[in-house]
Amino acid sequence: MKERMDPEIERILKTVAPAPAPIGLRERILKGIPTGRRTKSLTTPLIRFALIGCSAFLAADIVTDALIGKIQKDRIQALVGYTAQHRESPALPLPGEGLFDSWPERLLIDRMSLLAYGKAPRRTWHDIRNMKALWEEYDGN
Amino acid sequence: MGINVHKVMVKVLVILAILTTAVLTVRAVLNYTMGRKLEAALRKAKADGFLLSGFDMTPACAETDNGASLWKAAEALIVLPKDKERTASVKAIESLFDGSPVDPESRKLLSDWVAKNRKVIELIDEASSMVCFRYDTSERPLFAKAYPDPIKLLHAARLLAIHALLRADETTWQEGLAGCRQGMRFFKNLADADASVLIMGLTAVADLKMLVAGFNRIVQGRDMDTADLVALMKEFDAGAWRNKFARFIRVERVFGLEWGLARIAGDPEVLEARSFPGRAWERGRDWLIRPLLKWEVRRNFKMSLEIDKLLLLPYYEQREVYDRLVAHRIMDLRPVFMKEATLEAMMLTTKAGLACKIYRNMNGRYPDHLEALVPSIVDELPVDPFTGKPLVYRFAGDEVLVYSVGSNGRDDGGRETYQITQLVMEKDDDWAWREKVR
Repeated sequence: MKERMDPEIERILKTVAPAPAPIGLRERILKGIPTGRRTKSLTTPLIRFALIGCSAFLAADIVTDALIGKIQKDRIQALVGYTAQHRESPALPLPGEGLFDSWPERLLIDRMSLLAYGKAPRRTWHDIRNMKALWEEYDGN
Repeated sequence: MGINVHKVMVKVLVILAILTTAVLTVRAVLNYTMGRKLEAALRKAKADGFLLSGFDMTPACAETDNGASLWKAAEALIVLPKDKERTASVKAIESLFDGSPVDPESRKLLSDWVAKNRKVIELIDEASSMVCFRYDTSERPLFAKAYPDPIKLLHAARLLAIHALLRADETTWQEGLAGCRQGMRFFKNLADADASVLIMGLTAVADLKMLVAGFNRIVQGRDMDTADLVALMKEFDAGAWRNKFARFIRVERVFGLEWGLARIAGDPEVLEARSFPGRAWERGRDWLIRPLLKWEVRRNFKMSLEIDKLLLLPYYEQREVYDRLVAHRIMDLRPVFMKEATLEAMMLTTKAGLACKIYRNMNGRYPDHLEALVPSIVDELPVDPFTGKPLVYRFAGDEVLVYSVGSNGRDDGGRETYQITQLVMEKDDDWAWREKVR
């Protein structure tokens, strides 16, 4: 609860003038602000320089590496004769239909079975390596 | 306090950024230098005449000359043996090696199995006379190519060997022998004309061994004309076979190179072929370790060029040089060389056995020693691929035997084991040709 003050004291207090701020205090406070900011800041110019430098270096690294890698890859592929054109060649695991006509009569076979078989997935090296039954049939031979 | 933690984190971040930059810079430099070295190694190999691509290793083959076309049809039609038939077929092949007879019940099962596959046998017979064998005619890298089904090839070899034996018993031995020879020609063609990887080579070795064993069983004890025997001897050229087999290992080298280069390039086909998941993660990892991959591809490639020097050596020399050059630094090829040597041993003993039969035709008796065959019947004394010494030749009871002492280098009295389970077999490790003396 607010206590009511003596009116005499209030009168005396009204006659008292506030003392001015000490000379130079304002300047001192304003001067100290950047130092405070610097102290409270998360990064320093050195850190900022390091981060920007690293980013630039990384970007240059990645771009140069990609460019050189591409040039080297093309050169090596040209050397071994491994080109995109080869990859695009269609794989035809079954002989052309016309071939059957040249087979001797005794070899005329169940074309439906053959065509159905031709639609089965291709067996690559990895498929063969993962054939568990192969090792059973191979049986150490 | 809170501000301090943030500051520490920023400092850690900066240190990490500097470290990452340093690591990636070193990686980029290594990636460049390793790439240069790989390129230089490939360029040198090419200049030295080594083939670097599966495309270069696959000769042209017209579709009408291609035995693979007929094999594909056989592959589609072959009826694989059911449980009992399979057991009987495996036992029948084992009996070729240990000399035991096939019981009547198994014989009936096998006859039925052969009858179901009559068309397949005809197709393979026809394919054996074709000049080339190209299963996948597309120009894909070796790791993406399609290959014949090795399980079906193994069953086909059993089928042909059993069919030949049944024919020899039920019709004439000449017909049985013709079946074996056609089968052997088929599997030699398979080795000869396609850019086939090593796994196919090992299958071909196993297939040929079954057929050579079947051939021996039919020939043993038969009276045959000298002219026929001379013609048959030509089928067993172990040196020529070693040349063919060397091709599989050369193809394997190119396979490894193509695979490695595709992995370096981040080829999705290679990534897909790998069994573990996380493709995006894998791609990132492969990018990071690319210099290491380049180093590994170059190292393996150079090592496989070293192996090339010993491909045509006999096994007893191969083993020594291989151990000195590359053992434990690259895929272990010693079991491969050993298995190939067993087939060579079978071919050499069969050839020597046929030569003994010729000698008997000429002189009325078997020779006292193998030297007697040189030079009138064979050009040189047959040498055991496992020891470098002449094959063992001796009379035992009512039998005459020619044999190689096998991987253990020890005379096991001509006893042989069908299954090879280790690099040096402990016992019964001879590869023999035998015949009853009459």
